[in-house]
Amino acid sequence: MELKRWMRGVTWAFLVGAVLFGADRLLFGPSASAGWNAAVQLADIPEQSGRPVIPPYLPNSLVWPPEEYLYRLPPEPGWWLGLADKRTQEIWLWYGTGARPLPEQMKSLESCFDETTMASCPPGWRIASTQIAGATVYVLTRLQAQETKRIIVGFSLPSS
Amino acid sequence: MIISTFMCINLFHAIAALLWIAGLRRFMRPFSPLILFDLFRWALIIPPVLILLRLFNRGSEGPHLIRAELWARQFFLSKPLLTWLVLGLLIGTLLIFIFQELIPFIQIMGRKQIPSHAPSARLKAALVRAKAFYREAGILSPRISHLRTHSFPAQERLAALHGLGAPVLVVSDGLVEALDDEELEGVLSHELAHIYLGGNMRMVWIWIARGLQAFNPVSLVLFRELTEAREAACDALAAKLTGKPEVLARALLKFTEDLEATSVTSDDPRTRAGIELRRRAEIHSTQTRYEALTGELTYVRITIWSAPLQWLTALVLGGMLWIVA
Repeated sequence: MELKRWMRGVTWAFLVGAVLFGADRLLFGPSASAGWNAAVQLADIPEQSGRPVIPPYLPNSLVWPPEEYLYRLPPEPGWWLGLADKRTQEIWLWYGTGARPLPEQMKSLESCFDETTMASCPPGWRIASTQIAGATVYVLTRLQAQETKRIIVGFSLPSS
Repeated sequence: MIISTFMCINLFHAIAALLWIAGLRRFMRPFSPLILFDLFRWALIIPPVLILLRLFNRGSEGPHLIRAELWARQFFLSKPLLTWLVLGLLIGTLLIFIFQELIPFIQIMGRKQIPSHAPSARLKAALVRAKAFYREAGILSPRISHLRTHSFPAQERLAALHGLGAPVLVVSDGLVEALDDEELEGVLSHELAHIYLGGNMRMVWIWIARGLQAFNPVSLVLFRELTEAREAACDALAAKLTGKPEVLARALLKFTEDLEATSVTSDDPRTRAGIELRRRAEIHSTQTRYEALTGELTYVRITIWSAPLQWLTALVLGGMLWIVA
């Protein structure tokens, strides 16, 4: 008798959870992976993650289209695109929104965002940022400072 | 956006808690009124605590049943009509809190001491017997043991705990006259049960937690349910300890008769309406308590597990709400 009562209580707890879960998923769709997801092309990045911008200027040493497409869905939307160097085929430039924690592929660059000490990127890397349509877009790159500046300035050019 | 998200989290915590408790009450019948009181208490205290935990622990959250950020966006940012409706509901609830709870509370705090006199020998003897019930059950705490009583000259039938830190039990002369010895013991046992459940001080803490969620309409319902559950729990405990639920029910009936006979006297029609509403609510509440005492046997157990069980209910409810949003 006592066990039955407790079973009823536990079942009810699960039911309440199921109703709330059902209402949420019915209204807002299935839950996406909480972390960063990889996409194959620019068009695969969902709109809720934010709309990735295409840099009007890129140095010839970098390969377009990007090598890596990463995105994260709400509640903390974000995206990062990784561009490879033509010669080494390694990612030479990341650009995207600064939503943290950073994707696994960018973990070594976490220190670039360190706000408690002076921002210090790993040797050879630098960070720059600009505002595009009210959102901050960061550029993390191994390119020279001059090239980085050109890319940043390029973002502010009116799109054709 | 963060504020609206936290408001949504709080709203869903309250909804989940209220739904869960309502179901437990129904499906786990007979349900102990003491546990019910504990559940409502935690349902008001835990949500603001979880919000604080979330504030200091952002970024390391797992998946939740409710994605509060999406609901917040839907409620507050998507459609202006929905936004205004939700805002209207929240502001309305806040106003209810201010006018029905905060202002009366400030008025009570600022009220002068009521003139009191030493209790009669009959009242003192009834209190000694009521305390003896608690001693026999092994739950006579120092706060119950040291409780003093005062009488005050009024024909209304009233008994209440007065004060926060060291409360005093005040009983009107009208009540002492109206009740026989057994009924008086029952009423005093009920008042001692309030101390057993934490007294006025605990209620103030719960009320502060409620004040932090003053905009939340479901918290308002939870608080109203809690005050009813508290009275029911005190009734059940008193009935259990005295072993005479029918005597306490009889005493309650005398309260109702007194309330029904009281006429509302005020020149201001709004004040008159307010007093009349409160009087009717009081009569309804007393009748519900009477029916509970005369209906099915109350399910109250005082064991060594009673205290750990309180913390267990907090843990279960806290864990559940953590998963919800």
